[in-house]
Amino acid sequence: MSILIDENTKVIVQGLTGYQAQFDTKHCLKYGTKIVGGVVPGRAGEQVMGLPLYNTMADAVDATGANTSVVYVPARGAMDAILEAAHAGIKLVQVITEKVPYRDFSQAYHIANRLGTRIIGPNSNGIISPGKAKIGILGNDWRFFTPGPVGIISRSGGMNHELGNLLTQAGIGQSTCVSIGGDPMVGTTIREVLELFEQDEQTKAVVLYCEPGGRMEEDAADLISSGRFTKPVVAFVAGMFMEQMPEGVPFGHAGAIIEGGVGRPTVKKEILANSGVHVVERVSDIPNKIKESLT
Amino acid sequence: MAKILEHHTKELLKRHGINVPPGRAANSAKEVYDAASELTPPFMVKALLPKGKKGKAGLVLEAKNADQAVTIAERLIGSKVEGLVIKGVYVEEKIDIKKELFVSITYDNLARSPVILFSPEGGVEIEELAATRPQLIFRHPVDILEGFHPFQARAFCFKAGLNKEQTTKVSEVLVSLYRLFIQLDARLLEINPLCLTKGGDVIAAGALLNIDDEALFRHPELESVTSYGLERIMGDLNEREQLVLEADLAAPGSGSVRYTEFEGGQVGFIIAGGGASLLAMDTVVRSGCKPANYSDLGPGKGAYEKLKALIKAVLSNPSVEAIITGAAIATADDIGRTGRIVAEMIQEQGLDTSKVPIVARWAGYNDSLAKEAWENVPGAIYYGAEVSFEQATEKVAELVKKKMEKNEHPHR
Repeated sequence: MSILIDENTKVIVQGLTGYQAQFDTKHCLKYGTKIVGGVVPGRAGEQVMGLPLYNTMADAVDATGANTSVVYVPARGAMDAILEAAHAGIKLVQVITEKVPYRDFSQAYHIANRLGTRIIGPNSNGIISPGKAKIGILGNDWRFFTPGPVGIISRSGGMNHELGNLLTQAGIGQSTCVSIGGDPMVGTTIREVLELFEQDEQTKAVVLYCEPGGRMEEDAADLISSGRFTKPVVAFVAGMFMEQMPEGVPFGHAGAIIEGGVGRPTVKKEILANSGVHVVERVSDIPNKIKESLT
Repeated sequence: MAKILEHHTKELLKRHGINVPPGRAANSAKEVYDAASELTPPFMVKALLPKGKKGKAGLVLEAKNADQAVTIAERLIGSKVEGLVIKGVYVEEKIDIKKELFVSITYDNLARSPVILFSPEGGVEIEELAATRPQLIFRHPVDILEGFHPFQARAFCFKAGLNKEQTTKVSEVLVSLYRLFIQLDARLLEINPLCLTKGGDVIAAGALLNIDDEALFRHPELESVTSYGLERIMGDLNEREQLVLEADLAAPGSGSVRYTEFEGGQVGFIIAGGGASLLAMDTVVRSGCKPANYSDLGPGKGAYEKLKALIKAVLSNPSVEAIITGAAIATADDIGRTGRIVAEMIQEQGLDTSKVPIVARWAGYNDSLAKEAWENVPGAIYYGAEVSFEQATEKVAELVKKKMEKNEHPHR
């Protein structure tokens, strides 16, 4: 099974003429992802890497039957791109673009939500369902991922690769790895990805890579404590050093900020542990914990 | 977040039809005296700093007359608070307060919506109120597509226990504040206290406004009044920090670099990426060593110039005993190249690895480029994806501890 994307996912790339978009698309195609076209206004009829370009998302969806899009459009146009995809009937929009204004994203999220469209990101590195499909940057070099039973959720794309690699080296494959995005406000939260993993037969356990800031981990712990997520979860919480720093200073991702006492790693660790999550002290401990929880 | 100083915030509030106390900004004793002479005493003298909780920090003081205002201002101006120098004060007429309220509008990241917090018990820190009397904080999540209507504001005020007259006036102000929050692309608009006067007016006495950096392009009028990027600076910058900051500001938006030193640290960091930068710090601390600096290099066209400045800073920090450079595994196309360029720059800048050992861990797309370059750096320890980023960081901590045991350290 896997979640979000698989071998049947049909993908349109929004902003396909950009450098990063083409670099990733080349590798997604090599991986076997069904990328079926791109949207660049005013470029209909042209081709990029053998893929047809369309003026609008509506045209692209009509012509290809795509159900997913990847957004590379610059921040100022990101809201428009998300909405264009949602209105064209796209069900999953993965947003690579970072620095999307708050107000824009809040509006885009709620409109997309009403149209039944899920957003991953902004500032997401991508998604990979090993052996089936990948979108975005994640897995451009795919030796780090193998098919298997473990789901990965991380804000950071880099750490998603690290975790995939650690598990792969330990002989444990992955169902789907999701970079939910480094911004404080994202379209799909940890809890919402867990809800998808709960429904997924292939996924037998989940690894969470947590960072300071916000209440996403607390919210996820709430789902787990309430018994609505039943599979083993192993979590690492980064950013302990930030508790020795003045509040209100972000480190790393824009979302990694402790403000008004909210977002402390120690609190996240405690709440996750109390909900039944295996919280590990070293990233290197993750594969063994997963092995234990799978037996 | 781009922070707006209080006198500018008050001006913006006024323009949106919200009453504020009459006030003047002043940067010298003479200006303070002149400002006070144009206003009616008594005054509140406030340090102009882009920070909240000023009352508690002793940065808001009352003056009975112009001379007192000058005395207070002379004490404040030029002094330092958490590394920021107070450059001026805001002299404001003290208002005749009957009741103090609290209003804050921000985003609830989980709901992905704006949220209005309101309390009939203003004038104290909200954290304090949340700890002692949380039942007095009322919360209204706003449907951003619908907006915030007067009837909702009225219901909100009644719920918070305001009477009919108070509700009529305060609800109007709440609607105006929300409109300003949205129009200006604010991330935070806090009015504390929002005062009800004995004369029946509603006046915004304390105001804090932060604008979304990423939306500043829509507000050229705010460019001259924002303090951009201050939240990433802690305290005074030393020479090395200043150098890196200047390199960063030289090409705004084109790659990014951050460098913050910690006194007496041992491990120098030359790290790219948000995830890895946190993990590296934690790992070194857990291994019993002290980080010498925090660093985070973000990708972009101008990143290499910024990288050069970062490397120069780390290499010239006399307290650094060993260096870790690298990133979590990445598969954008520049990871291998960046790893190679770091190796080249380090050689160019003449690092002696026999004195300051270096561990490099650059892995991912095209990492053979990095591997090759690092094999040419005498004494450097290079790892690819076969060793995790965490293990590479543990290795550098081990090297530092060995140096300490042999008492080989210090300083170049």
